[in-house]
Amino acid sequence: MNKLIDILQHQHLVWQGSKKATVSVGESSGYQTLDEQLAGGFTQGVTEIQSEPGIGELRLLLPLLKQAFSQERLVVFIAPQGIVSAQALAAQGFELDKVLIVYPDDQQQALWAAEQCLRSGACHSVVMWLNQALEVHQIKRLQVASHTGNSHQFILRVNKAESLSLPFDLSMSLQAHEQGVLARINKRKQGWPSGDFTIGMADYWPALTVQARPDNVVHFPKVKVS
Amino acid sequence: MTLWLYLHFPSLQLDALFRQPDVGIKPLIIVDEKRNEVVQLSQLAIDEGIRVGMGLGSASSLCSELKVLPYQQQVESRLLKRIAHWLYSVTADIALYPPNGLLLRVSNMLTLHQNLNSYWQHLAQHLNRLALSYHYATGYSPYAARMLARQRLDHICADQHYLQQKIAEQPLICADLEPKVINHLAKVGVHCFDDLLSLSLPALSKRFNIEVVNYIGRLTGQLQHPVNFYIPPEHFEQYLELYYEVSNLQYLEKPLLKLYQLLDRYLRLKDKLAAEVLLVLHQRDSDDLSFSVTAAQGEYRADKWKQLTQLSLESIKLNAPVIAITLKVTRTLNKYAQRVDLFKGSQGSLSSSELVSILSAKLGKDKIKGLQIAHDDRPEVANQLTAPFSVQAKILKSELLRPSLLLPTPVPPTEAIQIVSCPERVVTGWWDDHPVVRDYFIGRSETGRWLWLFKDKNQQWFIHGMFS
Repeated sequence: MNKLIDILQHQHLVWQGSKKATVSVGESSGYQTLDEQLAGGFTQGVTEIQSEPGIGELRLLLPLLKQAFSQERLVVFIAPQGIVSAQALAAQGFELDKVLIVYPDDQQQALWAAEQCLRSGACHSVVMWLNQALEVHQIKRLQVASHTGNSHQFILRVNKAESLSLPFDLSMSLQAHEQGVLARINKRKQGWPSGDFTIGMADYWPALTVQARPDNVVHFPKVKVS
Repeated sequence: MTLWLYLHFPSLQLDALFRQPDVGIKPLIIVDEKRNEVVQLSQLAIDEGIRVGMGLGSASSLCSELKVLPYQQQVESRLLKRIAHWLYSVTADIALYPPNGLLLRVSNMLTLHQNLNSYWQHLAQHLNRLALSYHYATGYSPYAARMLARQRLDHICADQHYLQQKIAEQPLICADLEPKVINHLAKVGVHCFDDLLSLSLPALSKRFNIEVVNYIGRLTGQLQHPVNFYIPPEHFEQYLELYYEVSNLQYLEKPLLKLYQLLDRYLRLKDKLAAEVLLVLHQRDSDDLSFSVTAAQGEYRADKWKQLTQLSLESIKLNAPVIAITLKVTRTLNKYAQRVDLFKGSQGSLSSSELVSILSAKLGKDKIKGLQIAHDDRPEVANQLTAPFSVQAKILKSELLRPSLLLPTPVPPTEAIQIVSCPERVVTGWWDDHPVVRDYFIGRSETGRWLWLFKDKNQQWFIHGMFS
């Protein structure tokens, strides 16, 4: 009988009332709309962000990552698809001596490095680019590590690569939008999924938003008078 | 004067054999082959009437079921090193006196302990874990302590007068002198230390040869006695000889556990975790069989290591019975100390440089990078990767709008892109081999991606980065 309960517990099919729900207040993401949706901001744990590359997925995280420096901790980028620009980060007020870039050979190494960084306590956040399928136990390990080290793990990928649902603390998908990004919360621990909402980035990057056309302009008629 | 402590292990080889206490075992004696005499013997053998110094013949006539092992000095020396290594965590200055003695300098350690007795208590407690029989004595010179310990004084004391008196009582036979010299002294009627100690050194040198003078001078502390102290190696390696041959791997469980318990203690004292251990099974008349066991997270607990080893043992086949085991740690990790914050809960407490060293040890140094800005207008030159923590943050400032990810090499665009910014002209690099003539633009693709592209002097377009 006990064995059966053990098995069920192991598969997370039983929820026990005695388990204390640890409500942790998240760190502000720097975007008001997102903070409202997340009830405070990003909590520590593993966050998945599905998005096309180049629509602002990394810029979405930068205000949060910047908080690492007030805590004298590191920000680690693992397997970026290119060279993380020092100039871009410095323009946002990053302290470059607290930024590490890791170029692992394969996904296995990337996950290992992420786990070490998360667990060490020296890192505030780890941003990792992945493109292969993940397994449940890998996410679990990252979760345990991030709780040990009190750190954030962000996994950036284009789309979901596996059929089963992974135990992310937060899963978001992003789409391009003229004023920033169009986000949707797919799943969230201690919360509900959301519909689409816009995260405006005009405050941080005014040059990277499409200016709304003024609506009082009348186009000059191009019809030829015959 | 410096106080010394000598530990004498009379039956080291016997004590260190792995024995299962519950199995009805036979009396065991260890015989020195050269001199053909019993040098060490188990309690059962003593009960049978066998004594140290007997010949093998008389011993075997006293007991029919006798197990005999040859005396091996190198085994004892190796064990002695192991004991020294073990004691090193408790006392600092240890000198080896092979094959069966250890000399400890006490005086320096007394600053850490209340008095001599508490020091000895601490030391003895640690030593007793090895379950060896030993004799001990203190003395104000290495020779004095050694001589008294070998005479089984078994008394710890710092009283100079008492020790002096004890030394004087001892017969000269127990001195560390050549038998020839002792004989020579006996012929002139010197049998006791008292006879020699009553003379001054110059008087001694008039009467006896230099060996005796040196010995007495060092014994009384009047002459310098150089001592080579033991420096422990930084790794864990243990050799365990089995009392009987094992051909069934399941029987290795108990001796392995014993080894792992030592490992457990070693790691706990060092506050480390073992990530990989190498086990060597020494087989009789056959090559050694070695295999390594790894624990990805690092582990120190003996029972966990035993569990892991059992899994590996399942796939191993023995060619011949195992007679001994060596356990060696090949990789250790630092234990992640858990720092508990009152509000944030537990936190890892590894410094950033420790983290970098762990990462670069596994992935390779060239895989871990830091960022640097070079004072150059070419983006690929300005945004550089360097060794981690090699730059000062204060001097690195940039106000330019740059894409967060630069492509390693610019690629031609494959989709329609709308230009949304004015051009930024970069014409530079004519002085080195990398001239650049480009107009940079920010563009937005049809799918909504923010790209950084340039038009080179041949009017060709390339994407150079993404505002991701």
